[in-house]
Parts: sequence; C-alpha cells; structure tokens
Amino acid sequence: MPPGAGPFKGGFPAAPRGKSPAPRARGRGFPSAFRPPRPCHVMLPRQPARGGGRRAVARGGAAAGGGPWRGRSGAREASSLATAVAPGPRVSSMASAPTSKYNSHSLENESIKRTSRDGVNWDLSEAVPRLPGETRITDKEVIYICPFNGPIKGRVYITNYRLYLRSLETDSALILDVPLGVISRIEKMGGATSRGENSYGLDITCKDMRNLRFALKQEGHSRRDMFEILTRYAFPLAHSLPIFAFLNEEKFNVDGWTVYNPVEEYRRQGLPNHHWRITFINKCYELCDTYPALLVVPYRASDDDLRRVATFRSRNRIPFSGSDFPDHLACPWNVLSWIHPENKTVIVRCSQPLVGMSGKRNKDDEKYLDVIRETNRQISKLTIYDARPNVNAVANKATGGGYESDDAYHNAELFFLDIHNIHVMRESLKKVKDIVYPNVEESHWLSSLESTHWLEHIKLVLTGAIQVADRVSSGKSSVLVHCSDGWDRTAQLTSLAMLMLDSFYRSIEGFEILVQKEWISFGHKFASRIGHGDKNHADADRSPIFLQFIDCVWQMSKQFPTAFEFNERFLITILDHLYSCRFGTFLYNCESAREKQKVTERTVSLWSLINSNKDKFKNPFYTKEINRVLYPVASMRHLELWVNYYIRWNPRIKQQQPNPVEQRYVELLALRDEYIQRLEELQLASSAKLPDPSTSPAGPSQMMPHVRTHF
Amino acid sequence: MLGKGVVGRGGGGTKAPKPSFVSYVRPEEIHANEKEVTLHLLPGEQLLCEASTVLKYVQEDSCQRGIYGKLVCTDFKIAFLGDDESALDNDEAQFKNKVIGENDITLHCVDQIYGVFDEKKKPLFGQLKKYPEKLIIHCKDLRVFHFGLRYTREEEVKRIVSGIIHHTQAPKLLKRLFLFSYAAAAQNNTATDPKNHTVMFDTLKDWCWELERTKGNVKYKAVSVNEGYKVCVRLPAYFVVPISLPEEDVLRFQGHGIPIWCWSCHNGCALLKMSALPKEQDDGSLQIQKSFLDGIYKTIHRPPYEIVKTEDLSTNFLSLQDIQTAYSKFKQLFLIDNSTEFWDTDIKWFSLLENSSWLDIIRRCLKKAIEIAECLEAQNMNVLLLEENASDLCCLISSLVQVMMDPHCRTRVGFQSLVQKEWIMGGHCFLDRCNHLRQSDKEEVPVFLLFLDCVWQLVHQHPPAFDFTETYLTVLSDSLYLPIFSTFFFNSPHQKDINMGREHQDTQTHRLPRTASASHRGARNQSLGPALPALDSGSPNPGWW
Repeated sequence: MPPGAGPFKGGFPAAPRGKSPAPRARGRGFPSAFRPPRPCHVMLPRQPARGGGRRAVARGGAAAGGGPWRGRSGAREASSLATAVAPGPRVSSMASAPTSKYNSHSLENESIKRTSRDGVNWDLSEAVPRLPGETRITDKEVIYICPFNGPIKGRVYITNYRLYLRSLETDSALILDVPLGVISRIEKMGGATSRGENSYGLDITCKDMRNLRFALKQEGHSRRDMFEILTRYAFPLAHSLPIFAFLNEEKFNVDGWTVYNPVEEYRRQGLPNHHWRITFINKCYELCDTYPALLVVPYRASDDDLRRVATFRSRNRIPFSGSDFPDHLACPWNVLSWIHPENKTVIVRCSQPLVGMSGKRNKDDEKYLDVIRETNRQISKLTIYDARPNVNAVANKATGGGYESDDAYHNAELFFLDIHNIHVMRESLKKVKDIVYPNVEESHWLSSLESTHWLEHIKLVLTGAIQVADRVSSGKSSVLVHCSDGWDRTAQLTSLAMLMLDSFYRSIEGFEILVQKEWISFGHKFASRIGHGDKNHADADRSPIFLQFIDCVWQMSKQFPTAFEFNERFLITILDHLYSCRFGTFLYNCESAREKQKVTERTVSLWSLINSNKDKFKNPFYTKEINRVLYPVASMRHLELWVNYYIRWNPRIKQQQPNPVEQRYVELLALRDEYIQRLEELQLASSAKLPDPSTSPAGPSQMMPHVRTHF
Repeated sequence: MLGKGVVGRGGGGTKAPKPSFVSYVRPEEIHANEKEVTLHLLPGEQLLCEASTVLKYVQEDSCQRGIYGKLVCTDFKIAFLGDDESALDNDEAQFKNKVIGENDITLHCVDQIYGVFDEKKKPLFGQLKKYPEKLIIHCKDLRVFHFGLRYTREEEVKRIVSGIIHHTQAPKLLKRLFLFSYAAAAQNNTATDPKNHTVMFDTLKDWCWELERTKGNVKYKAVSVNEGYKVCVRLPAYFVVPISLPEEDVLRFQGHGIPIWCWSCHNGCALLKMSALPKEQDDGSLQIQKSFLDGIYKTIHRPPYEIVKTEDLSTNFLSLQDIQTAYSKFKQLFLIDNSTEFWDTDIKWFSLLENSSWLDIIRRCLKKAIEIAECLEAQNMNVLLLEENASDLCCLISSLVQVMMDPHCRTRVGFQSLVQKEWIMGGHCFLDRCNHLRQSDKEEVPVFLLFLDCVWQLVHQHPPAFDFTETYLTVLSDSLYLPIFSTFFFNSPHQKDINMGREHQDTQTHRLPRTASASHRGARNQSLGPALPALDSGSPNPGWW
C-alpha cells in the first residue's frame, strides 16, 4: 500500500447518514467527517428527573407509552422538557439533596424485569426468582450501600447462580440481581475495631463496570459466612465445584448449539472450490488444540505441507520437528476466514511467524503464502496486516516471534496496525471505570475521557478492520491478518472486517455465527480473558478484548442505524452473559477443551435464549441489504462512549429507554403490517367475487413497495 | 529492517502526503475541461467582476485535483461556475437549494479570506501588493473553498481578488445591503395561507392573542405607549407589562427599568425581562432610581401572593466576550484545509473540543434555563431577567425556557413566533451581532447561533417532542447570511420600519422559496425519524417565515 493511499475511496471516509448537527460544516467537497460530531458528550448524561413533583412527570413520560411527548394537548405540567445538562451529579444534587430511592429502583428493577421475561420462574413464596437448576444457599440481612442513593436496608439472597437484594423497607422491592459470574473480587472491609456507620462489611468488584458494597453486623459471623459462600459460588473452579452453566436446567424451544455449523457456513461462502479445500487434519485437535477441527486451506497445500508449516507459526514455542507437536501451539497455519464472493480475494488468519533474533526462515511457510496469493490468480503482492505496533513486533523477536521480512517474503507487503496488547486495553478500561463509576466526572469530562484512550483504541481497531475490508473488497489483494498469538487482535480484525464486508453477519443469526466462528471456534481464550469462575482477579491474562469488539460493533451500529438486524439490547445481553456463566457459549479457551467437557451436551447456549425470543433483540430500523460494504468513519469525531453500557448503573445518566423515536417507529411498522394484512384480505374477498381469478388485482407482494417505508 | 509501509501514526489510517501546489493538469488540457455554466442572477443582482480558468480544488485528496471554471463576484455572492455536477453526492444534495448553489457563497457568509504565497497561507485584507497563487475562503457556515489562480490571467486575478476582498471586508452602509436591491427588483410572490401562520408581534392584537394563549391576561396587559416609537427606538411598538404598572413609568427612563412580559406559565407565574437603568454616579439620581425601582417591583413582587426572583444575566452569567472567544476557537475546529490537518487533530479531538468551551457554554445556558423553569413551575415564582439592554442573553434564556416549557414553541409555527417575539421584537441586534456591515468585529457574537445550538441539543435529546428537525435549524442558521429575507438584517423593529417602510413590507421582502424548503424537507425524510409536518410554506407575513 503506497503511503497516502488511504483505505477510503476518496481519501476520506464517506460519512454515514444522519450525522449533521448544527452547526454543520458544509464543506463543499469536504468529508462529512469534518462536521462537528454530535456533541452528545457534553450532554450525555440524561437526567431522568429532577425535584419532587417533576420527577414523577418525567418518569411517567419515559415509561408509560403516552407520556409528555406524545400528546401535546396534555396537561401543561407534563410539557416541560427534562433536560440533561452535563455529567449529572452536580446538576441533580442541585435539584434536591439526597436523591430518593425511587431513582435507583427505576434502573436496577428494570434488569430484573428483563430477567423475568427471560424465562425466570418467579416463586413468590421464596421471595426471589429462580432458574431451573438454581438452588438457594443462604440469605442475610445487610445494608446495601448504594453509591447513588445511600444505604438501603435489605436482605441478600444467595443462590448457586446469583445474588439478590430485596429491600426491607416499605416497598420490599428487588434492588439487585447480580449473577455471581460477574464478580471479579470480594474483599472484606473494616475490622473488629472498625467504628463508624457501615464501615464493616464486604466490598465486591464486578466485571461489568460496577462495585457492590454491603455493610454487615459485626456479631454472629455473618460476614464470614457471606464471604465464604460468595467466594465458593462466585469462584467455583477454586473449590472444585461445577460452573453454573452445567447445573442450569433451562429449556428453550430453539437449540442455540445448532446455529453454527462450519460446513454449512463455508458452503454459504461457496467453499470448497477449485482453490480452497476443507481439511480435517486437525480432527482430534492433535495438530493444534486451539484451532477448530475443521479448517479451510489452499487446495494446493497438502496435509503434509500443513504439518511442515505448522512448525513455523506458533506462540513463543521452540520449533519442533516430526510429529511431536507441543500442547499449546497457537495458530499454526493461515486458514481462511472469508472469501469475497466475486473477486475471490480472501481473509486468512494465523499467528506470528517464529522468526526470532536470528531471522530464521521457513521455505514451507514462504511457499504456503505464495500459494494463498495465487488462489485468486492475483498478480500483486499478498497483503499482511500485523495488528501490533511496529516496536512490539520487533520486541517479539526476542522471544522467538517476529514478522515477515522483506527478503524472505518477496511477494508480500507488510503493514503494522498499531493496536496495543491486552494489558494496555485492560488498563484503559480500568481508567474508563474510574471516570464513570460511581460518579461521572463532570468537569473536564471530554479530556478525562480522552485520557482513558479507550475510544482511541476503538478507533485503531476499526481503522485496521477498515483497511482489511477495503483491500479485500477492492479486489486489490488477499489479506493475511495476524498479531502475536492470533486469537485476540486478529479475531477483532477479521470479524470486524467480515461484518463490514458481508451483510449476512449483520443479521442476528449471522452475528451469532460470526462470534461462534471467528471467536469461539478459533480459540479466543474466553476462559483466560474473562476468568470464568476463577478467583485470581489480578491475572494478567484477563483483558476486555471481546468487550472492545462488541463496542466496535456498537459504534458501527450507531453510524449505520439501518444496517444491523439486532439492537443495542442484543449486544448488552451478549456482554452480560459473557460473564454470567449461565450459558456454556463463552466457557473455555478453545474448541478442544469444550469438546472434552461436552459443553454442547451439558450446557445451554446463549443463542437459545436469544433466538427463542428474537423480537426483543430486533432493530426496527433494519433494512436488509446485500453486497453493501460498510465503512464506518474511524475518527474520534464520530466515536462516542457507549453510555448505555458503561454508565448504565447510574440512574441519573440513563438515556431514554426505550428510545421514543424507535418506539414510535415500531408502532408505525405494526400499523403497516396491519394494513398490508387488511389489504390482502380485501383482495382475497374481491377476487373470490370475481369469476376469473387471473384478473384479480396485484398480489400483496406487488403492493408492498407502496406501503413500505424506505430509509 | 522494519516493516515497509508503516501505516498511520496511530492516526486515522489515511496519512496524506504533504500538500503541495503542483497541478498535474497541463495548461493545454485546461480549456478542454472547461465547460461553460451560466451564472444565475437573482432579481436586482449585478455582476461585479469575474476571472476564468480558476481551479476549484477538491479537498479530499490534499489539494491535488480540481475543476476548472469561472470565479465571479456579484453584489450578492461569490460563485464558482464549473461543471462538477458529478461531484455531488447524496450527502451534499441535502443542503442544496434554489437561492444558493453548491459553489455559491453569499458575501455576508464570508468569514475569512486567505491567500497562498509560495505555499504559505496568509490572511488577506485591504490593498494587496502581491497577488496570491491560491485563494482560500472560510465561510461562516463552516465551508472552506480553495481556488487556484495559477492559470488565471494576471489582470483577472487582480480584479477578482481585490473585488472579493473589497466586497466582503470593507465596511458597508445599511442602505447598500443587497436586501434593498432585491426587494426593489423582485416581484411579490408571497403565497398566503391564512391559518397556521407565524405571529409577528407587530400589532397589539398579536400580543393580546399571546396573552390569551398563555392565560397571562389576568395579570398582564398589552400597551401601545410606544406606538410610532415615541418613547424608545429600542423597544417594539407594542409590548406587555404588568396590569398595575402605570404607563407613565414606561416613559420615565425611556423604557429602561420596566419589567416586560415574555411568557406566563400555567400556574400564573411569569417570565419577565428588564433592561438596566442608566448608570448614575451621584447619590441623588441613584436615590431616584432606587425608589422608582421599588415601585416597579411592587407590581410583580407582592408576597405572599407573588414572589419574584431576579436573574442578573449581565453580572452572574456568561459574558458576550466569553461566547465570542469560545466560538472563534470552536469554529476553527471545523475550518480545516485538508485531510492531513483533519487526521492530525483527530486524536486530540475531545480535548480540543473541550478547550473551546463552546459546549460548556451551551451547558451553562441549558442549566440556567432549567433553573428558571424550576422557579416558575415548582417554586411558583416570577422570574425577572436583567441585562443591560435586555437584547442578548435575555433573548436566549427566555426563548430557551419557553421551548422547554411550552409545547407550542416546539411546533414550527410556534418556534417561528417565538423567534419573532423574543429576538426580532426583543430587539436583538442581528445587524451588529452578525457583523453584516463589517463595521465592528468586536460586536460580532453568535448569540442566535448559540440559541439554535441549545435547541439542537434539546432536539437531540427529545426528538419526538419537536415538530421540526435539525435540518430546519440549519436552514434557519443559514438564513442569517442570506440578504433576501429581511428578518435577520436589522438591529431593532424600529430600524427595520424606517428602512423598509412598514406598509410596504409585503412587497419588499420574501421568504425562502418553497422549493428550497422542499429540498431540505426531502432530505430529512430520508433519514431516520417519523415523518414530520412539512416546513411552513406560506404565511401572510414578511420575513423569513
């Protein structure tokens, strides 16, 4: 790629629609990216309500369909706009001193309502909802120290799956419903000598951007009991207990495990073909236990070639010979992820080559890359995207890794994408949590956000994926993507590029297949990155790589509001169950481990939950498109913090849910469907009256375009 | 031995080469490319100067490519005539209208002109000794144009550059505004639609209607004491004061120190504004002022029945200087010359945005408006806004409060009536604040734009609560620089009346042609959101509406 030739057609990214806030920059010939972004970062916190009487009004509006914005003729009281002014706390404290509990319930209750719709059985006599297979362990009287509304006296119920908190005050509302899987760390606070109110108890750090704090009585060992029980069930692996997913007895009318069938997915892409074949060389995971059993490789590369190449693509392992394959060989070959339906360029993925300090070469690997290059008879060089920053790639040589050098790979061009490693991402997310939880930093919000670098990392990941997608889509060349191991940044890049290129992956099932294929089957180490059931909260292997990917998807869905079949809730649900351990979907590091544990037989898939209730996760604005490549604008001007995820626990910063425009649109769509149906009935009735059915008016399918709303 | 093409420096991935001003089009190719496009002139518009073989650069690829054409300057606009219809993509078509083409810049819309001399960019003003090889025009609507003059005849370069500089930067007389030539030449094509029209607040009846609508007529009355601007040229001919206020009081300080009604809340509390009394030094005069004000306050502050809260916007709130400084930093973020500059500033975008303070100013305005809304609604207090002339921040805050509290103001007609009531009749100095006459840069403060941006934030947070969209707000902000509509070209209703003549208004000014509104509307309907009623296309009143 010559310097200066950007991945974008005109040098500039084409802006997605619907982004021209006032004052817009109307640069004739200027990229729309120059336009001011929606400055929602100033405004981001939505103050749902302020002050006594007004609160009820504003909330009523959000909740009860109608509300202040619907009927303008309504009472004048209901006409004021509750406006969010800035990162909330200061503004709202101005309104009324301690916020009442009303607010906190609003948010946290909602998550409970949600789970109850998820098929939880409410057993009123037990005071808590339970899933089939969920058993009650204990309950304790505690004071929940809510960071937003102050201490709340309540009773905690602990099951083998989650922790509930029910208020002991007047309304006995359910305040917390937290799967134990989200717990990252449990600490005791205060000692026997602690004085001061609520200073003795437990401090719980969660993986989903919140902390929970409970104050307990000093007498009666209640803290010790609660600590031990929580530790036991939140970190079952350390206590030789099964993860809850294996105890879960939920039944769904759809089996999520059947969503992804590799053979079918490759067939959808037109594979195998003259140049690519399916190989079962890794059938028993004997060659590489982090790769799936079924792989697509160049037709011209024999299984013996593959065995030889495998020695050179690895993970900090000494090269080996013969058939003694090490246990944790990373991603040894370039295997196909996606093939362009027309120009037949491909995206292939693998791990870094084992070049080392001495600059080792491997003829088989060099030849193999050439074979890939030739699969679409391309004349130009093969493009290699190394996801790492240049310096990191160089540094990796010291540990035996490295990158493809010029002299060894004549027919390849190498680019570095400057995406940082898992440790940098973990620290960055930590900083995000610091500025959003529990209080949102109001002054200097934008510069604080900038200093977390979280959106900058998002930008780099998106930029990298755009380059991959553009290379392939323009037909310039096939692309090889790798990082160090080939299961973190590589997965992000290939899956995002595929999402940009192939509209199939933007449907609900398509996205599930994408996650199942690029992440789960290709060995993104979910168990290590998330630490399911593991007590070692400081494990350096933990990192929010998958969350970052979902954030990138969310950014794309913001920029292309009609391109995705799924909505924001779908993404948040995936993230919630990434930690919850209720489903087997994200357990273990690779397919071989999952197979050993018989995960598909013994656990339920997250996709069962989602696909059995798809309507809830559908984006009403979705318009199905084929063959449209999405190029999001990877500029800070167009990226925003995902407030509904990262700041969702703060009731003052919630955005209107459900989105009123979306709500109205859903109603309009329902009306449309109703009219179409009525039209069909009328046509049927009238055609029945007509003697000759062939003269009946146009069928409903022909009438549809007139009624359909175009976006 | 490092990798070859290192992409980006953590940047947007499109590291563009340094812009140079070498044209790759050979001079002999030029004439073949040039295609004559006719200049469209409005009634009363006159061509002043022109230059041919001007290259209009396409900014996307770092100023290497462009379109050849003719650059002209009329007494209304600068226009580039070239064949670049192909360059129009959908995204830009949404800003197309019949008055101003894609390559037109009204003279009032020009913000800053730069010349490029030996690859160095310098601001241009006054008499030039040397003429630039390239002209860069920054517009007030944040567009940026680059015109290459390398292949233009020297004579023509001199004429067009000095013509543009003169007509956009030299101070002007009010009577020389294009507004007047247009009004004299144009036919009245106003279509009238009796219902649903914007209330202009230029008759006693309009004020009575508004009082009745808000049920303010219990405590407030419309007065005609200033008919013919006898008392004061700053105030409108008709306005509303407390019922118990004697009309002589209005005369006392030429309308200063009088609580003027803006709006009544459903609970009877009113939003009022007052301009400050003249600053006096000697104790005697101060004593007189004090007792005058004491008397005045009794008309709106009668505890326990009525309590007034005073908000002094001159001292405890934003200054016009703050707004000016913030906006000049803010706009620079969008006046970008090329893609290199774009990506270079991208990584620091959030802190640049924050450092401009523009968003913080918006936040403070909204916060103030919320505070006032709380006082009116929850605490049952009258609120009196104080400001030196009651014509800048008073307009902003009072109209913002009304948009937030009164659903009528969120309809198009209601919003237009609100602007008419608070801004036009409220005597906001559009002529000075927009610097239409180029007489004082110091007075140029985008107060009205700030208001529109605050409203945009509300629209963004509560889209279904509004009858209009961001496109409507954009059109409104554009019309500030379109000297066809008289609405935003005067400092007070008095100034407008003496210059345009009240009785002839209907024939002298025109609103945005229906087609222009229609194209905006069409664009909006393609994007997300439920269909909203179309822009108002007819009203019997003059001005923009």
